[in-house]
Amino acid sequence: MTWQTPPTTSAATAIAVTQAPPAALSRRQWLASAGATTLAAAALTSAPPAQARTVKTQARIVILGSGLGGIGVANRLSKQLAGATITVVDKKEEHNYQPGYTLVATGVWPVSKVRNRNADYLPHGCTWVREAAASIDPVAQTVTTDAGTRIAYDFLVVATGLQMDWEQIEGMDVAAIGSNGLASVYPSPLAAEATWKAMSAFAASGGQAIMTLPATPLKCAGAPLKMTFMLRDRLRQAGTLDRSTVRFQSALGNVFGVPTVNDNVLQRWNALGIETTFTQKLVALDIGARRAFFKNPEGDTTPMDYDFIHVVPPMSATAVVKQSPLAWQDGPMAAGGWLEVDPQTLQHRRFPNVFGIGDINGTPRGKTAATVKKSAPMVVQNLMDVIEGRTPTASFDGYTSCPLLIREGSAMLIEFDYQGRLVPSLPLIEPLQDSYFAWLMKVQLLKPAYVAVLKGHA
Amino acid sequence: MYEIWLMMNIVWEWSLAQWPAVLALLLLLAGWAAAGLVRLLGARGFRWSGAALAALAGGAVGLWLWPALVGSSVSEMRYLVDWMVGLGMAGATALVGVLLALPWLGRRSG
Repeated sequence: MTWQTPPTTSAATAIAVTQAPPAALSRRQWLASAGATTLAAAALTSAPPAQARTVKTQARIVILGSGLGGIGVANRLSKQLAGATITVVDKKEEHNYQPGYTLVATGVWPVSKVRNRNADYLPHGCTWVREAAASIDPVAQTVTTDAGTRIAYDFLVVATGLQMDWEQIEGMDVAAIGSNGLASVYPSPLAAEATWKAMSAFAASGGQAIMTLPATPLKCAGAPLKMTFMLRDRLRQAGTLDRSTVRFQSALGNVFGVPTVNDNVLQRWNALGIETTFTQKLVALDIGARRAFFKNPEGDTTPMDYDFIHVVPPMSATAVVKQSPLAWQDGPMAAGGWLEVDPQTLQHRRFPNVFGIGDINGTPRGKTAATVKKSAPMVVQNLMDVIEGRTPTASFDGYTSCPLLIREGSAMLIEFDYQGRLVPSLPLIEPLQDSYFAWLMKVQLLKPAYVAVLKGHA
Repeated sequence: MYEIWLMMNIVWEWSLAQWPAVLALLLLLAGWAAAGLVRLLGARGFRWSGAALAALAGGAVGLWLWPALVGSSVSEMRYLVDWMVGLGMAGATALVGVLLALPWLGRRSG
């Protein structure tokens, strides 16, 4: 591994590459510095015992992506590496709390609760290249951006997230979400807000609702189920349930990848009168006519009229990874172009100076914030091991979590690993029990936990 | 250990997100408690029955209030963990109830 890769850059670099700004004193910073030097603050601004290890290095570390994984890893590395150059590459200025989208889309939260600024969370001293990564050359150890900036690295952390392949649904128009009964929680905070507009209008009148599920790996695979449960509850609250139908159209043979959860959800839906159809893939929409077209494995296409439809797009790796040598070359993850990492160490299987975190990873499960929460410290530990010339020591079990909204006021706190085993992280928690506590976690406690992970504290 | 650390972080970040309300409430309660304690200093005893009544009222309000504030209700408390959390939060509210009643809990006559 070379440590002398030339840091060639384009003229655009001078403008676009800036130090993460010491943002104007925010309310949080003011409180932390002025009024809240309590014991808790003192404890929280220091690293917990497990994170005490520090390594001196001149390594250049490039992090692609500024989501929870990218910023969380950047914050941890900035605390634990002395002398390293840390560069985050992402054009996105806004930081979105994506686990809150389902709460926005079902009328529980205002959209403002999921919109923040990346600048508020990036560590001081970290360089932020406000451009999109366009290509990766893992042999030359360089990343090139869409503006032509070439950034050399010694170690790369890929945290680009994934992309939504809307073009695979003929006639779909993301800009039309919120009108004509068209809904989708996935694209953005504004789409989630528009989805609530469509859902509340539908709940007021009732009618036929269709909820879709594609056959690809998904970020937050529980979201389509949450939307279904909550839609049914909104119809009940509006008093229009008796003149409505809710149908779930899955492109797969199930609705959730963990068999025990899948069975539990189907039992609940059966009791709630939610109809489920399998192996029906959404292939086209006529938004104006409110008609959806589903294709079965035999190739037959069936049109279905609706008053409300929740569309979940097929998803795959971001183009920059898909088109790079870092993607899986064969096996079940190759079609989606997912990052070829070892599921336990999250280290690239062919390029040992590359690690992956979050949705981009080609691992059996786990495209949630909870996965990042558990795996970020491990990625950092393994990266530090490699920097020190050792074999990675931390092993990730695939932990992920899905607080599954059942109705307003109640949820299930489902946690599982790569094998699909239920692994509750708190004693006495019953994962398949609908619960006030799980709802409280989802609505009040998980965003603070997310922010703590983002800052590299937890 | 990690879960305790995480919970501390959650409480901290939650407080930061609502800091004007949290700070105002803490200051108000601290001021009220100080005034109540000063008043108690001149008293000839402590009315335990009054304190118990205030705690009971605070607890009852807390049991109903906290779930309602997040769009849930007592009827959604379906198993042990729900009740432990619900009663824990009600207990904290009971303490606030006693704190609020403090100025009236001194026994003035024998």
